[in-house]
Amino acid sequence: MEHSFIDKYSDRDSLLHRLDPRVKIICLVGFIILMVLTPPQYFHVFGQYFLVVVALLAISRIPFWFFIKRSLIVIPFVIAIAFFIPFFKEGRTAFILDLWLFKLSVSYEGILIFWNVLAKAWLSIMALILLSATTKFSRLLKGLEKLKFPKVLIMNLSFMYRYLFLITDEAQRMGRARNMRYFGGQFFRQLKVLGNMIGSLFIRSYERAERVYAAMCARGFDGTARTINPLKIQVRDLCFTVIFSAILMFIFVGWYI
Amino acid sequence: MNNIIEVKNLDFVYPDGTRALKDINLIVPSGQSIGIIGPNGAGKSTFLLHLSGILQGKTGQIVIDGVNIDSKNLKTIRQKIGFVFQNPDDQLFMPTVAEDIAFGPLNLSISKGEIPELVKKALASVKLNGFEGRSSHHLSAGEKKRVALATVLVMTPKILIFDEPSANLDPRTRREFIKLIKNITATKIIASHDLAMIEEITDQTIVIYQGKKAAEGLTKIIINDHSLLESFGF
Repeated sequence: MEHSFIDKYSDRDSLLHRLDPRVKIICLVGFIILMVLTPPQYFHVFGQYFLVVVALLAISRIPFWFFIKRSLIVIPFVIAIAFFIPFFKEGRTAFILDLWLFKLSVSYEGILIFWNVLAKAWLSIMALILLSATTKFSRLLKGLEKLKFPKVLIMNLSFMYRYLFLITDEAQRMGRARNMRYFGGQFFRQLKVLGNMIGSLFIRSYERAERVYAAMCARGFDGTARTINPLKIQVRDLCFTVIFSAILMFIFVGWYI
Repeated sequence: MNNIIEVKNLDFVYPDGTRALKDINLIVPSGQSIGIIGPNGAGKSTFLLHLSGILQGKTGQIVIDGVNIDSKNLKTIRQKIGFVFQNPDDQLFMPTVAEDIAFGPLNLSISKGEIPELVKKALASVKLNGFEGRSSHHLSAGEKKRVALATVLVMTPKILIFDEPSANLDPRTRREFIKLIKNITATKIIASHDLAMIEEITDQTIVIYQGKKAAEGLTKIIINDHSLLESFGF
C-alpha cells in the first residue's frame, strides 16, 4: 500500500545523498545551534542562512514544492505558541488594532520575538527536512548509532520504522472491513466499534511483537543488539564539513562586524 | 545414520489452559525431510516452536543433535536449528536486508570482517544478488520469503524448520521457493497444508490432530491414503 514515507526522496542520488550520515547530523546540529544563537534583529543574517538552505536544496535535487510544503507543517505549532506574544509584550507600540469593543496594541518588541521564533523554527525544520529527505532512515539510524546514541533508542526507532506501515495497513484494512458493513448513523454505537478496533489493533501489534521476538530469539538474540557498520568517512565528507563550517562561521561572525 | 531429533513424551499447555500438545514422540534421522500436516489449530506451529526451544513444555524431552533443550543451552540449539516463520514480516525486523541477514551471525559472535561476504553468499543462495541495501517493507511477498530463508541459511544450520513455506505465494513463486527448499541438504521439518509440496519435498510425514500425533509414515503412503487424510480433516 502507498504511504508517504518519512524518508521520501532519500533514494535519489546527489552529493548530499552520498554524504556520510554522521557528517550530515553534525552539520545540521551545528547549523541549528549557530542560527539559534543569532540575535533576531540581524535580518540579513537570516537571509544568508536561508540562502545556505536553498543552495543545499538545489544540490540535493529534492523537488522544491515538496520541500516547501513539508516545511510548512511546523508553522501552525509556532503560531499556536507565539501568536499572542506581540499583543502582550510591553514596549514601543507598533500599531493598534481597533476591534470595536476593545483595542489591542502590538509592540515592536513583541513582533521581534514572534519573528525570532518563526524564522528560527522554520529554518530548523527546513534543515531537518534536508537531512531526512537525503538520508535513508536506516543510514540515519546507523549514523546516530555511531555518534553514540543509546542503542535501545535506536532499536526502538528501527522497529518503529519497520512496523509502522504494517500497522497502518492493518488499521486501514480493519477500517475498510467496518465500512463495508456500516450503513451510517448510530453515532454512539460507532464509538464503541471504534474502541474495539483500537483494542484489537493493540492486541494484534502486541502479538506481532511476541512473534518478532521469537524470530529474534531463534537467531540467537540474547539482549545485546549487534549490528554491522557499513559507514566510512570519505574525502568528500571531510571536504563538505570543512566548506560548510567555513560558510557557517563566515555568516555567523559576519553580524558582529 | 544417527538421529538428529528425538522428542519424547512432549506435552504443552498454553497459559490460557488450551492443551496444545499431548504426548508427542518423534525420531528424525539426520538428513531426512519430515512433513507435518494437520488441520488448523491442531498444534503444528506449537510443535515447531518447541523444536527450536522458543516454547518449552513442562513435561517431555527434546534432544537436538545430542543436546537436550533447556534454557541454559539455547544458544547451542539455535546454532543448529534455523526457523523460517510463516509470516516473513515477523522474521525481517531490521531496516535493511543486509542487516537482517547479519543479525544471526553477529549474535553467534562471527567476526565483523567476514559478515559482508556471508551476507553476499546467503543472498546468492536464494538468488537475490544485490539486495543488500533494500528495505524489507519494499519487497514482494516472494522476495520477503526468500530473504527470510537467507537469514536462516547464513547460519548454516543442521536442521531447518519451515512453517507454511508455500502460503501466500503465487504458483510460479511457490514452485521456485519449493525448488530452493529442495536443494537444501540439511534436515528439514516442514509444516504445511500444501499436500502437493509435502509430497514433493519430504520423505516421512506425520499427521497431528488435536494435539496428538495421529499418524506417521512414508509420505508417499500417507498422502495417498485418502480415507486416513479425510478422517483427519483433509
